[in-house]
Amino acid sequence: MIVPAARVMLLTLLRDRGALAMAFLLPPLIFVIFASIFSAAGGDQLRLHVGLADVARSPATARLVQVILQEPTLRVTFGESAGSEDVRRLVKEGAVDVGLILRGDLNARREGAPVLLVTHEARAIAGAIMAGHLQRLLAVHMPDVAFNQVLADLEAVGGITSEQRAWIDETFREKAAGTRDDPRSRTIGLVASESALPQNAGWAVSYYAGAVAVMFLLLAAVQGAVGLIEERRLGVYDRLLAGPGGIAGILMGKFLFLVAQGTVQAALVFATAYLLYDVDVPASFGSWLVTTLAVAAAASALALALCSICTSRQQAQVLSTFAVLILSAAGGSMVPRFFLPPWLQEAGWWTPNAWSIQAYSSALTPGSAFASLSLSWIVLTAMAAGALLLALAVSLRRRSV
Amino acid sequence: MPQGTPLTGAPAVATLAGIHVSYGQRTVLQGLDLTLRAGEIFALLGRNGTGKSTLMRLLTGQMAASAGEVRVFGADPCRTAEPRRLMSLVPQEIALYPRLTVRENLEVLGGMMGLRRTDISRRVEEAMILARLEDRRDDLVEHLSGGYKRRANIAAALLTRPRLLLLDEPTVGVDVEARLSLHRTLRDLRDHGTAVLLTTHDLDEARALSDRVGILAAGRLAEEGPIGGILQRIYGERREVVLVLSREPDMKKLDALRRLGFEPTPNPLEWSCWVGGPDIFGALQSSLTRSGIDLHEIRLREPGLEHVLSRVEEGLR
Repeated sequence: MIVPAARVMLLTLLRDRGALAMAFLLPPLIFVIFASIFSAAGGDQLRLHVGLADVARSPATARLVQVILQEPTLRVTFGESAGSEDVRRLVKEGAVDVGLILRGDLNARREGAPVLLVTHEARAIAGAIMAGHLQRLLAVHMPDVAFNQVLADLEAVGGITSEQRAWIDETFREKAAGTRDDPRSRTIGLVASESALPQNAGWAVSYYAGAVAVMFLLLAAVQGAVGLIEERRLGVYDRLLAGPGGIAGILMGKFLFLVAQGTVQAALVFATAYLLYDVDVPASFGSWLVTTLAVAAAASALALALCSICTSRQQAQVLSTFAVLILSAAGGSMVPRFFLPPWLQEAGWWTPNAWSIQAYSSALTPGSAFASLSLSWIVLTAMAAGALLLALAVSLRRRSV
Repeated sequence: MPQGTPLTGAPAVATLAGIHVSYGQRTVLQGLDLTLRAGEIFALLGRNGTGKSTLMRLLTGQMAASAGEVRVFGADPCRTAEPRRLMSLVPQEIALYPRLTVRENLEVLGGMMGLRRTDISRRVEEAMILARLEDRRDDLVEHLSGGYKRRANIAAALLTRPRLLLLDEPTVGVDVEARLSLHRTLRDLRDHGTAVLLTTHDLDEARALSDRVGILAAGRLAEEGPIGGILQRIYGERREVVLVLSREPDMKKLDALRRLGFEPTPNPLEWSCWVGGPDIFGALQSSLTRSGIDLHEIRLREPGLEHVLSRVEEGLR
């Protein structure tokens, strides 16, 4: 009894080439992709995307700009005429991971730090990482700036006596203790930090609400779309193709239901985020709703296309699980995309996840540029239309009478 | 209308002329001609792989012939959707949603087939009455017996009031009572002017139900017409006589049976032979009595499909 049962499974698998390929080819493929993602996230390949503006335009800031531009561990968006607001906008819209505004001469003593780090709550760790990069770059490439800072501090205290030395040591210890608690306000005398958004604990959560929502919308849509394969197997397609009905109607009906289901699912995720984490959805309800409809449309159409391609329920379940995992990992639903290798960050723009996260971020961020939000909507809608057309074309080819 | 009456005067709903179809190197249909007329039941017989499903696909416009012409309600179903508005297919599988009730299935399928919302309720009732499903309307399809599932499968095809109904082995796995009920439904449709084309592997069903049959062999309709006429052409006056003996015959009686032309069957008490003539039983009985064979029963057996197909194929060689 045991051997025949195992034999049935073996023969079934061997004769379903799609399932066979998925069973043995996809795992190593998935491993390679996930290894790329997570080794980069935990290793030394992390390349932050930095928005840079040199407002001070002094010789020292010009040198720092060159040092930053040549730093291989950073990707820099820099415009000669870019101003502080341009950098803040880039950070707010998620176009860059962190912003750097060189707002004063590095060698001059003045009120406030000459370098301002602009962070986003959803990518707070990028600010801390960039602060570390700055310290290293200044120490290695511009030690004179750091030394000038020390001298200035010494001059400010009027010379060094043993009592003064003890006092200075104590003062630096207090400074160090004061900055340890809040990475965003850390300063080495040169660097200050600010958030691109008003202070609200909900911003960080809103990123993950969007990231998780799109991932689960995809999973749920796939479960619903698997019905397509059942209908094909049952002969409903044959019945409709032979009569006045059409596959387009079936697909559109399924699509609309999945969009409605996805909208409700996303609403539940964001309602939880609003109630528990103060994510201010009501303030941007209109933008949120349009975003959710676009995200649900893209997820639903993609699920229908995936299920149309598959010839068996088994294939659909395996392929869609792998597809959702890859899209979610590359698109930023599992870890923020700035942790990924640059090529994967670029590839991530081909996933609905990246555009959904971008759209939710823009929709829920007060003062975001409408152009950024509308671009996300357009891309998601285009993905939905393309996937629906693919599903329709494949379904028409697969009629089975 | 009396069964088996040729309908040469009724309008043709579908014609296939000189049809050739090949799948790669394999030729399935070569030079097939067929006309289906309104108000007739046409049964298509043939072995597996002789092109019955291909013929269905040609009629529904789901594939084009390599050569020849297909016209359904005057149009090419591959080029225009108009013929499909007037036809319905009953697939061999139960093409229904198992977790919906009969009524819900008919409602959603009616919607998918493009019926207007205002018409759906009426058409659903009508189809359930035609298929004799009224008392099962609120049962889940997955809970129905095989016969009721088949009826619901047919009811779904009736929603659009088709003038051409195509059924792919509609009574497979159905008990006698359900089969008779389905036959009544199909005859009702025929009597209302619907052309019915069904494929079957059951010669008894074709005999009981169809006005005409077509036997597919060697890529064309090797025989076509009322079933009685076809059997007459194949067998003439010859009939298969079956003897059921009271006890197993000894060697002497075995020799006697063989001399009379009888052949053994898998049942040791049953022997059969093909005989013709005006008084088959009288002549046989006297011969058997003379040979001392104890008869329990003697009867005529109608030819089965396998035998008919073999004879048709022999005729083609």
